[in-house]
Amino acid sequence: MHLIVIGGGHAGIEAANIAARMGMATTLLTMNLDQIGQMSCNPSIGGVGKGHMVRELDALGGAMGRLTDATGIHFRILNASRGVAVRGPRAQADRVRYRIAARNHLENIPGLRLVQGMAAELKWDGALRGVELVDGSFLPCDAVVITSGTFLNGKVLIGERKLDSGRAGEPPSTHLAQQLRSLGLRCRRLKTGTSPRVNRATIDFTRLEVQWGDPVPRPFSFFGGGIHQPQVPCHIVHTTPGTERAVRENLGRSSMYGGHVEGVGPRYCPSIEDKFVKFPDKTSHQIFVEPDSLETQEIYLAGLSTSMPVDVQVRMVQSLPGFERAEILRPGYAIEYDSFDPLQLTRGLQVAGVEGVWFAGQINGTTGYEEAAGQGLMAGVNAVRWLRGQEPLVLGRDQAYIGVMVDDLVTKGTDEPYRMLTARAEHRLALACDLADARLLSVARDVGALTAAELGGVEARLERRERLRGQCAEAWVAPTSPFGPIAAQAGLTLASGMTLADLLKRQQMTPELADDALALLEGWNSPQEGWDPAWERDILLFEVRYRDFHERETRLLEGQRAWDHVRIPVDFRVEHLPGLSNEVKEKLQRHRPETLGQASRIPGITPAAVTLLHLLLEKGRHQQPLPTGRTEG
Amino acid sequence: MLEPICAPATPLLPSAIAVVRVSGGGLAVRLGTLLELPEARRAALKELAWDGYRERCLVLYFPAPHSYTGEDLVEFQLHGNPLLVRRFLEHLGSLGIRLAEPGEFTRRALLNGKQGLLEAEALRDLVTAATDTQLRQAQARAGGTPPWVAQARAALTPWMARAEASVDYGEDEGITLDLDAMTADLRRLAELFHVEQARAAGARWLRDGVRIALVGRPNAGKSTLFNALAGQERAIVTEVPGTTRDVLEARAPWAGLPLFLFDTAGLRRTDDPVERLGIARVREVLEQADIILHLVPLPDPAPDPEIIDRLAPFAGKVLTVRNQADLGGSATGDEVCVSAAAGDLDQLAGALRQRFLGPLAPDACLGALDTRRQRELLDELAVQMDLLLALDAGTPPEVPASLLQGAWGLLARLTGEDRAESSLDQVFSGFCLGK
Repeated sequence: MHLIVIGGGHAGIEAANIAARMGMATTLLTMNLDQIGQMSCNPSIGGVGKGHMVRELDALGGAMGRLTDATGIHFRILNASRGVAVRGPRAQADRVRYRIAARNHLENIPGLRLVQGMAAELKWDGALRGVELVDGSFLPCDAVVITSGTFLNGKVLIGERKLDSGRAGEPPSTHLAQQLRSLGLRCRRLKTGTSPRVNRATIDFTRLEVQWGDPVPRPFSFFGGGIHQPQVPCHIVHTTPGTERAVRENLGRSSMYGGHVEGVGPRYCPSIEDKFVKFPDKTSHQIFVEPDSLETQEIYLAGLSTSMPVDVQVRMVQSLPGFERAEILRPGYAIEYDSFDPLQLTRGLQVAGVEGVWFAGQINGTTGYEEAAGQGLMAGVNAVRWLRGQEPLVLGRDQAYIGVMVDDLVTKGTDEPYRMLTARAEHRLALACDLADARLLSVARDVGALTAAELGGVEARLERRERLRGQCAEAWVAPTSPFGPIAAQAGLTLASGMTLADLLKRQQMTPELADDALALLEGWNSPQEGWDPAWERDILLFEVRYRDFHERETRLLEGQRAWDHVRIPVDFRVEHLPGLSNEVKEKLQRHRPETLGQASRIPGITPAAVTLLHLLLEKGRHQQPLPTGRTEG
Repeated sequence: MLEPICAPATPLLPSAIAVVRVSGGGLAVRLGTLLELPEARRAALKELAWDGYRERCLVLYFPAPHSYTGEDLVEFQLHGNPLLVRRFLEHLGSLGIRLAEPGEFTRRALLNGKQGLLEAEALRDLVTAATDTQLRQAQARAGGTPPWVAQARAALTPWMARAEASVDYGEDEGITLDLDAMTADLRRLAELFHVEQARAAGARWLRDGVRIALVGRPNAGKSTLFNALAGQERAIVTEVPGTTRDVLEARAPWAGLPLFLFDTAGLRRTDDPVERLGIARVREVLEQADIILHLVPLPDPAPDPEIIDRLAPFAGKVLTVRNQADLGGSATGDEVCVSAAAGDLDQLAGALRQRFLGPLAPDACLGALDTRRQRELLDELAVQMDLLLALDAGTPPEVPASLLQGAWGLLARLTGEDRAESSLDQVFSGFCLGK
C-alpha cells in the first residue's frame, strides 16, 4: 500500500510526516524540492488560535512546532497577561532556514520518499491506481492527499496584470485542476494576498518602534530540544496620510478595486486597500516590520498586503517613516486559485464519492499555514487509517482547535478563506494550548506517530501535575503553618484557615506570592523535562479561579449540544422521509451530518426540522437495529 | 412542498359546519377529480360529488407561501355531519391525501418558517386555554419573540465584539475590554432579565393555574370559603367516587388568578378502611397543592394538633386563614383574616397575589414567557448576566467573552431561530482586524 501526498507546503509536510511516522510507505510529490516548507506570505508561525493548532499538531506528532523551534528568530507569547486558555505562542521563522529544515526533516523520515514533479492526473480503475505526472511518468498509489495551496489554476494579480502562477515566479497547476473540476466537484475561486518585501539596508531602523521577543523564548514543541539560534527584534511602523493618499488616488489601479479579481478574499487578513476603504475612520494602520531570514537582507512588511501596481507599492512603502529611501525587493501581489467546497468532504477530510482522495489546506477554503498544517495532519492520519481499514479519526470541538476547524469546514462550509479565531471555539476555556499534550494524549497514542519516550514524557508531566494538584487541595493554610506569612503578605487575615487551593483563588495572591507558596510543596520546583514552574503556576491559578466559569460554559453547551449524542446512521436515507421539505433533504444529503448536532449546525436547517429528524430517527431506531462499531476519536 | 395531508379542523360532532383542511404539494392534480381549485383567497361555492355522495360547500384556496402551513392549502366548509366528514376524509385518502398526525399542520408551519418556536408554543396554549386569564396570556404571547430579545441581542453584540476582538487581536491591535464600562452598560440588561423573570414567574401561575387545598376542622367554614372562591363561575364540581365525601374539586378564576380548588374533608385519624382511603387521597392533594389554606375559626384559635401534625411536612406552603373575622378577634404573624360568610376576602386575595405574582398585577404578567422550557432558559440568562456583572476587575477577557457567548447561545435556544455561531460575523464586522 502506498500513499502519495501532492504538494510540499505546510499541509503536505504534515500529511507526509504523519503518514510516514505511522509506518505508511509515502511519497511526497512537489513541483520543486527547493520550495518545500516555503512561507508564501509573512514568515510568522502561530498567534492566538493559530498557535493553539501548532501545539495540538505537535502533541499528535506533527512537524510544524519542531521546525519553528529549530528556525525561529523571534518568539513571543501573545495574551501572556491573560488566562492560559487564550495564550498564543507566535514566532518569526527564518524563511530560508525553515525551508531547509522542513526538507531535511522529511528526508530523514524512514519510508518517506520525496519526488519532484507536477501531478497531471489521478488514475482509477475502480480503485485508485496512481498519479500520472506531467513529464509522463507514473507513480502508483492507493490513496492520495492533495494539498495544492494556491497552485490550482493560480493567477497572480498585480494592478491590472494577470499572470498564470501558483506563487510569484512559479508555474500554476492546470492539468490537475481541470481533472478535479471534471469530477463534478463544486469549485470556487478564492483570493489571498501578500505584502511587498524590502531591502533591509534601505530602511532607517532608528525611526521605528522596536519590538523584542520574550526574554526567554518558549518552544512550540512539547518534545523539542529547545531554541538555540540567535534572536532578533521586529519593528512597528504606522501608515501616514501619504500612504492613504497613495492608496486612495490609485484605488482603480489595484486588481481588487479595478475589477480584475473574481475570488473572495479573507476578511481577517484584509489588504491595505480594504483597510482604508472599509474603515475610513481609522486613518493610520499598524505595519509589522518582520525579519525574513538571517541569511538574507529581506524584510517583510506584514499588514501591507496589496494588489497595487508596483509604482504605487513603491509610493506606499516610501510613505512610511524610515522607509523614504526603501527599495522593494519583491512586490506584493494578490493571487486567485481554485478551491473546492469543503461540504463535499467527510469528517475525515476525504472527498465524498471519489475513491481514495483527501484534501487539505487552501484547497478546502482556508487561509494560513497553521490551518493548512492542521488539515494536512488530519488528512494524512485518515488516509492511512482508511488504507488500513480503520475508522477515521475525528477530533471533537471540545478537544482541539483542529477539531473545531474541521467540523466548521465540513458541516458549515465557508464562503471566504477560513482563518482560525478563538472566538470560533465555544469550548475556549477548555482548549489551552499548553495543555494540548494532556488533552490529546490518548488520541496521540491512537495515532501512533510519537515514540514511547515522547508519550512517556507527557505521562510523567501529567502525573506530576495531578499529584501537585492533590497537594494543593490538601495543604492547610493557617497563621501558624508555613503558608501563614505568605497569606499575611498578601494582606489576607485567616480566621479559620483554608486549603492552599482556596488561598490561591484570592486575587491578592499575586503570581510572585503564589510561587512562594507553591515552592513549599514537595517537588514543585524540581527540574524535569517540559516542566516550567511559572507556567504550571499560571495554569493552576486559572484553574482554581475560573473553574466555575469553565464548568458553567460546559454545562450550557451540553444543553445546546444535546443533539451531538444522537448519531445518524450511515444508511439512514433522507430521500424518502415524510415531513421534511426538499430543501432540507437536499441540505442533509449534501452535508451528510453524522450526528443530529451537526445537522442542527447546517445553515438553513431550522430547529423544527432537527426536531422532526430526531423523531424520525427515534422511530427508525425502534424499527431496525443501528449498525454498531462506529467510533469517533 | 411535502406530501399532501388532510384533517378536520373542527370536532367531529353534529354542528352547522365542519371544516376540513388539506395541505401539501400537487393539490390541483390530486383534487382534480373533485373540483377545480377556486381563485386564491376567495370563498367559492362548489358542488362536490364522489362515490354517490353529493355535497355543496364553501371552498377556500390559499396558495403557498401565504397560508397557515406555508404550503398550498385548501379549506372545505362542509355541513357539520360527522358521518359526512368521515366519508369525505376517506375519499381524500383514496386520492392519496393521508390523514395528518396530531400537530402536523403546525409542524409544517414551523418547518416552513411561518412560525417561530415561541409562536408555536403560544399557539398551543391559545388552543388549550380554559380560562379568561389563560386566553389573554396566550394571546399576548402569540406575537412570537418578545421585543426584549432583540434588545438583549443589540445590547450584547458590541460587548461580544470587544471581548472577542480583545482576545483574538488585543495584543496586535491594542483592543481592550473595559470591564467597568461593560458592567455599567449591561446592568440595565441584567435588570430587564430580572423583571422578565418575575413576570415569567407570575405568568406561569396565570398559565398553569394555582392549586389550592382547603384544610380545616368541620366547623371552620371551609365549605363557605370554597363556595365563595368558586363563586358562580365554578367550572367543575365533582364528588370523588368510591369513598365518603373526601375531596371536592372546582376550577374558577378569582382575584385575577385561575384557581384549582380542592376542599378536603376528612383529616381525622380513623380505623375505618374506607375513610383511610380518603385520607390517602387527601395527602396526595396536599402534596400537589401549590398552597394549603388552613382554615381556623378566629374566635376559637386553639390549634388542632391532629391537623398541625398532618400539615407539618408542608410547612413552606401552608397559609393560616382565620375565618369568621366578623365575630371578633385578630390574626397574628403571616396569617390572614377573612369572613367567608360575609364575603370579606380581601386579605386572602392580597396574600395569594403577593405569593404568586409578587408585586405585579396580573395584567403586568401578560405576554411574559411562561412555559417551563422558556422559564428555565430565562433563569439561566439572568444567572449569566449576574455572573458577568460580578466579575473582578482583574478578570481576563476570555472569561467575559465566554459568558457573553453563553448568553448569546441561551437567547438562540430561547427563540430557536438562530445559531450561536451566527454571531461571529456581526461581532467582528465593526473592527479592522488582521495583518
